[in-house]
Amino acid sequence: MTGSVGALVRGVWGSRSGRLGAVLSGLVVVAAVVSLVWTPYDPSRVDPAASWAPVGTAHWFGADRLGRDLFSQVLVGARTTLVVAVAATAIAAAVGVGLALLATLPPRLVAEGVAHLVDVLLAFPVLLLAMVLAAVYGGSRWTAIVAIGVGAGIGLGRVTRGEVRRVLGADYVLAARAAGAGTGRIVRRHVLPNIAPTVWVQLSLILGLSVLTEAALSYLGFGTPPPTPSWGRMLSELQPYLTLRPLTLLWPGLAVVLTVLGFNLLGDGLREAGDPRLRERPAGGSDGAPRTAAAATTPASTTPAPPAPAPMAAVAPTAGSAPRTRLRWVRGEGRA
Amino acid sequence: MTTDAAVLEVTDLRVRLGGVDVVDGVSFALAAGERLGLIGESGSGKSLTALAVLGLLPAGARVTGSVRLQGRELLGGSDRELSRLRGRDLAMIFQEPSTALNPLMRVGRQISEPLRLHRGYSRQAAARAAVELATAVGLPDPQRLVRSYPHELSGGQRQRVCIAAALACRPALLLADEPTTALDVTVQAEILALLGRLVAEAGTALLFITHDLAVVAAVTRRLAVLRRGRVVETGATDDVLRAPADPHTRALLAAARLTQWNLPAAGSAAARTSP
Amino acid sequence: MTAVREQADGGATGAEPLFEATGLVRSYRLARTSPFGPPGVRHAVRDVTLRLADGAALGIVGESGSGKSTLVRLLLGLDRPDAGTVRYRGRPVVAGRPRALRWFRREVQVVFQDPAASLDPRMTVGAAVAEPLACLGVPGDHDERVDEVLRAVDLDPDVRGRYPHEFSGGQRQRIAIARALAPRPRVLVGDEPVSALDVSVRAQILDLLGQLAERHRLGLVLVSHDLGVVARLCDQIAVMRGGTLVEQGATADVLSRPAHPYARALLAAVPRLPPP
Repeated sequence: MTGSVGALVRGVWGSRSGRLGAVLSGLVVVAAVVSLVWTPYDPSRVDPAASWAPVGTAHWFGADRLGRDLFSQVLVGARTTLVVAVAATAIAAAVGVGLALLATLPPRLVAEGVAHLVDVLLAFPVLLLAMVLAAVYGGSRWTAIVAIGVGAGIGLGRVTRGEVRRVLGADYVLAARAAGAGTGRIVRRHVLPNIAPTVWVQLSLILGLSVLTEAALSYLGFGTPPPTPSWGRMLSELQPYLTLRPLTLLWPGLAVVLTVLGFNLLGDGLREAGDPRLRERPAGGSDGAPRTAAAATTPASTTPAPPAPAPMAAVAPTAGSAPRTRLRWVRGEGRA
Repeated sequence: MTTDAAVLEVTDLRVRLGGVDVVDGVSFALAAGERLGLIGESGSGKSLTALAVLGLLPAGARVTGSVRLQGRELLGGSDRELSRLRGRDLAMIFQEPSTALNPLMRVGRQISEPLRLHRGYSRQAAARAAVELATAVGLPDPQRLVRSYPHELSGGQRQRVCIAAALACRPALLLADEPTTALDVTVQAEILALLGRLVAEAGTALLFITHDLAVVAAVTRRLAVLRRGRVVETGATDDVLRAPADPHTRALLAAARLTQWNLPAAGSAAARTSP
Repeated sequence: MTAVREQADGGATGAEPLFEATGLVRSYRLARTSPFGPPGVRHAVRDVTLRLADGAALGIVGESGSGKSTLVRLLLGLDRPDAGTVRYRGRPVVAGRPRALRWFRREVQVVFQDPAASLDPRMTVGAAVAEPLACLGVPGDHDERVDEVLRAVDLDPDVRGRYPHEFSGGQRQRIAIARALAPRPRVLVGDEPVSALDVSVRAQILDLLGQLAERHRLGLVLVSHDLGVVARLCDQIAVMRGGTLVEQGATADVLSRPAHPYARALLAAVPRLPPP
């Protein structure tokens, strides 16, 4: 499986959006790691002399009203953001995929019960969940993580359930059953890989969303409590000075936007790189392609037009050879 | 082979799609009321030839050569001009009648749509014509059937609806792209007989596209064999099927004969022992 | 040829057929059309009885809606009949826990209609072909066996690292056949195995199936809408319509002297090529 991980990384790096996403996401990780060992100032140190210090060599991003260094706060905030986003997304993935499987695999009554439960839970807002959790356990980073993870996971479960049903209805699952595969194997080898593209896209959206939600929850006071800097808390603290010192709000705002963008682009790249049909290979028969008589129809068999010309519009004039044409086509459809 | 009477004249048609000439210099002509079979396997370019004639090629396809319908050049015509011809002077029926019909539109309206569009029929006249056309294509209980939706019909009935709509304006040319491939054999036989009869009655020229040599033998007198975008053989259907000149046609024919069961000397089970 | 014919006859009259279905019934409940009326019922298979002798080839011909796909699922233990039994070597085949049917799946494998759909697009050819070996716990070197069966269907074993979409339809069906052959079954069930293929490719795959059946002494159950396909490979034919077998018999007899009117209509409807 290490080979496929390598291919995944190469695939992500190979696409422009994947590369940009990887760079932006990498930047957040670097900021978080750097903040562990070094920040220009203690982010919570109050320095009256530096109140509203301008952008400059002393304070790269300037300082807030209390003279706390904004660059240091953004660095440490990256850590909070990353932990919350990754942990919440992991919870969402487990909850979502788990619910989706529970709502399809068991006997009909159980599965439909779970499906209806998901529909009911879907109506329960994340914010309300966070408020309940904060009221019971006190506002902390973990309330935010659990609230975001569970809330997003239920939504994910709703979307994924349809995908699981689609895969379970596919001929190759029937073929696997006829070959003797049990439920566990079908889930592991067929369902999970085939729902992966949809789940990846959803998770990258959830990753971005959780950054925003964490910011919102912290802003409202249900998330990260005061001494720990987070981008959301920075925004909430600086918000009263929006008209006076707009530049100070730019930094945490920009950090949130770029991180969300980075995660989403990375998710896109991962989805494409994870699909063998979208992965490009060197064309031609030199790499071991069998060219039996049956193969004579290979390149041509991709070209006959279906009655509806729309999907083929993506074939476009660029592709250079028949195998490429097919790749373009699939890719075009995937995006549509 | 070009005469003044030619309904359709295709000369040196080339379609370039994704850097590949999927149709590579195809020429043929159809006289009024004539039936030509276009034979080929998937990817031979037969469907794209039909779409090129209709001017419905996918975006990005580059097409050169000449397609003349009753002497009028179609290639390079504006979409507006072409759509005025489509459904009136030339019509097409597709392989999948289930996807070729609009699932949300009543069958009767779909049958008479070309009449309203091209002949300016009123709603009432179109409704009457729909019933007449439905009767003509042998649909059962046409009065009631025109008010139903496509999903309430069987595959064969849907294809009959498509045929009725295609022939509504008595076009000079009908393109049929594998019209019976999705149907059961018994239904196929009925549809082929129906198509043959209606085309003869209306004097419509028929371009019948299929991969099935036995089907084309039942429908057309003349055929052209396509392979990788080129016509490799043309001639009278009987002659080509009796004595194919091109090796590809021979191979196709041999493959088709394998599933024709009453071969002399070779019984059914004998095939299992053949090397 | 004669050997096969004799076996078929022996199986029909002998005491113990290899594969046997008795009185199969399967119906589906339809969605209610009115809120008060009883839900409709569609009888997909009603009272089907079949026998297959060891090494024999049985063809089941039917048009869409005849119930032949449901019959295949019942025969393969993928669906439970409302009534009737499926037996293999006298042992009942009952759909249920996959583990309980391992013995059966080792002996009976299937090739489906559309290889584009029956191969997981995200699984390499090697993994797909090895899947039955792994699932059924077949002893021996799986890698070696995968190479062996790929070669048996005229594919280069080097293709194992590739994905199904990189192959033509005919090649994909070869992969599906290799996968079915992998656990060394005694019976191969084909559910419209060539319907999705081009005519010339169809002939190749049929020949391949015939050769493999011959070489490995495989029993064949071939389900198709195409009489010609079935006639080519099978010594026994059953014609299915409306969930029942309206005619059964030796291929030559059914083709030359069809008894049931539907069988006659079906035969007459097949388009013919002029004799060479």
